[in-house]
Amino acid sequence: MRLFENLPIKRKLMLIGLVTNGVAVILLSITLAVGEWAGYRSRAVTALAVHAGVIADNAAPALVFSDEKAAREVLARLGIETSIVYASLRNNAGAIVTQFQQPGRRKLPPALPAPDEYLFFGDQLVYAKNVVNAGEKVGTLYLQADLQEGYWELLRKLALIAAAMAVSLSLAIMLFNRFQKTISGPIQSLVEAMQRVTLQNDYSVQAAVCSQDEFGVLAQGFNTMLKAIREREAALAAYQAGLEDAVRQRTEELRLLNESLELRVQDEVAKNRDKDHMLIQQSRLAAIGEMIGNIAHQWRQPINALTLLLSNIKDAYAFNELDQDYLDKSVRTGQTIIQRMSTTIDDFRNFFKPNKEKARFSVNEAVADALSILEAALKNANITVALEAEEGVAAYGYRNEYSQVLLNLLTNAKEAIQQQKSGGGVIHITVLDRDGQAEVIVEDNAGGIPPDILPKIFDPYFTTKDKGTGIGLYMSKMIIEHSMDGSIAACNIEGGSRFSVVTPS
Amino acid sequence: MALLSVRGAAIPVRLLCACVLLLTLAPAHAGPSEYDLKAAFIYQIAKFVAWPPSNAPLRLCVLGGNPFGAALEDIRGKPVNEQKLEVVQLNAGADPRECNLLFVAAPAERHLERIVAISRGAGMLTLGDTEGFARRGAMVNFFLENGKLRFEINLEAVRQGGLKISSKLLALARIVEFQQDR
Repeated sequence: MRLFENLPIKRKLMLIGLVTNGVAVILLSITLAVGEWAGYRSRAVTALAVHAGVIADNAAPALVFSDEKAAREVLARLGIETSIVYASLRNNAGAIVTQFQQPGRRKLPPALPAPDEYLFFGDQLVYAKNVVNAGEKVGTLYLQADLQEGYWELLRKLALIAAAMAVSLSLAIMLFNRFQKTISGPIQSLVEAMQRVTLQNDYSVQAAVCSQDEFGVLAQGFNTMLKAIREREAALAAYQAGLEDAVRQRTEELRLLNESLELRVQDEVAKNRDKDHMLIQQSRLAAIGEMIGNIAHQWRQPINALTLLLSNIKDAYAFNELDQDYLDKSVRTGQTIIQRMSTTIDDFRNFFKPNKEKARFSVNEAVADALSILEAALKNANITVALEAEEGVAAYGYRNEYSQVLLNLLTNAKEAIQQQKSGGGVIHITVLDRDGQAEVIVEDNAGGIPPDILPKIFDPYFTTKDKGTGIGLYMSKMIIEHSMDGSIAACNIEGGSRFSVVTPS
Repeated sequence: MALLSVRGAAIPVRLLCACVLLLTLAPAHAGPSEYDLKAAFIYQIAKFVAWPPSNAPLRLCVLGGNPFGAALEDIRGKPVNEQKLEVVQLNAGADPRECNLLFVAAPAERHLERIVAISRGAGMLTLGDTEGFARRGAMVNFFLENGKLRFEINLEAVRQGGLKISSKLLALARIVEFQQDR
């Protein structure tokens, strides 16, 4: 069946025609043959029965009067009927009264049928007939016919039928072969068109089927479809071209946008840099301001001393006490004071000079540096500093920057105390080694930071002071966390605030 | 099919088998005597004769003693077509006109010419079993040939008697004519 399915339609149609016609012809032939055969046998039986009837009728008196001679004469009349090869007359006892045998024929029945019945033995037919006289059975007649001749005749007839069937079958096949082209032809041209479409992508093909039947409709549909595909393809190509243009345009736009974005980013980065620069500038200015304030505080006492010294020299001259010794002594004292002021400036300059490389340094010294800068200012503000320092605590990083952070924290504490109290301010400084890291804790007793602003104190430009820049703590956080890989944190303690700076050592 | 249906009609026929069996076996065996056969032949011959239609029994008369003995009893009352066979012993001098069949035994030979004369146009079948009877005018006469019982028929006598005998029976009989020297 699979083999059949894969056959080309032409072959398939041929095969269908052959099989259907063949089956019909064969069935017809068989029916005819069987009919002929059965008819022939039936006719043979009828003919023999008629014979038997006539002979039995004629032989009845002979049997009645046991006239064997008369009986033999009756049977002898069968001599002209060559198809009857044997006949016998039996009386009611079953004994043969007489029999007849066609000369040259020797076939005898192997068995006898019941009266008025028949039996076939190969090509022999035996018929039995009751011999009745005036309603009285007087014996039985057996007739045997040889059907060989008839069978040959039948065979000849069947051969003729077979020949006629064969001729009509081949004629039918020829006709079928001619007509099937009207089916397979259009299909073939459709297939060819389809192949040209699929193999060569040639959509301009037109299936050449002109009939008005289903194939015509199919071909028309196929052509319409191809036309639609062609149009669709053209539209698609146009659309694609349009799309490519659009993409190119969009890409250009994007590129421009990108460029402008880059420019804007550069712009923003530059702005940021400017802002940072400004921030640093502001921070520097603030530091300078701080420094100047601190220098002013440091210098107030030596300036007063120098003023006093000069005033004393003037008084000594007025009271004629200005001799060489006095002058030398005063000059020495003045020079010492001036020397100390100069040292102060150097100290400040060193303090604010940024370090170029990371180095290990003593935290206690850094604390001392910051305190020395603020010493005068703190004393002026009447603030006590309580230092609690472990020996030998070290940190790794930029020392001056670190000191500036501490200075920043101390300055904030000092200013907070100055805002809150008229006196009694205390700043508590603790230096300790916490698991190999250096920690400096700066605590004040200025009442602490309001909880709502506590999370924002390290933000840039955030300040609570009238003239604050909002840069101090931000810069401190940057220095500790970004430059020195440490951490800085703030929290409130009882009566004040606590800042903790932890840095690796 | 029509052939087979004949079989049904054959069944009642079998009721008569026994007697026919005896008759047909007769020549081969010692059983039935010559007159048994003759009685049976007479009965069978009666069937081949076209009798005028009648409701009365078919009367078989035997003249000149009874050579058949008990054999006549075997055929007495048996059907011949629509009629029944009646057997009557005739005395010499009795009127045979009431008979349908008249068997003239050898002892009644001298009455033959008279009976032949009576039988003309009477529709009566005359029978005998004596040499020359048929030639003298008896219609059917039995004789033995090679030990077998046969019969001869005087067709002219039959025609003169106004009877018709089936040609089938004639085919079995030896046909004789009247003696020319009569």
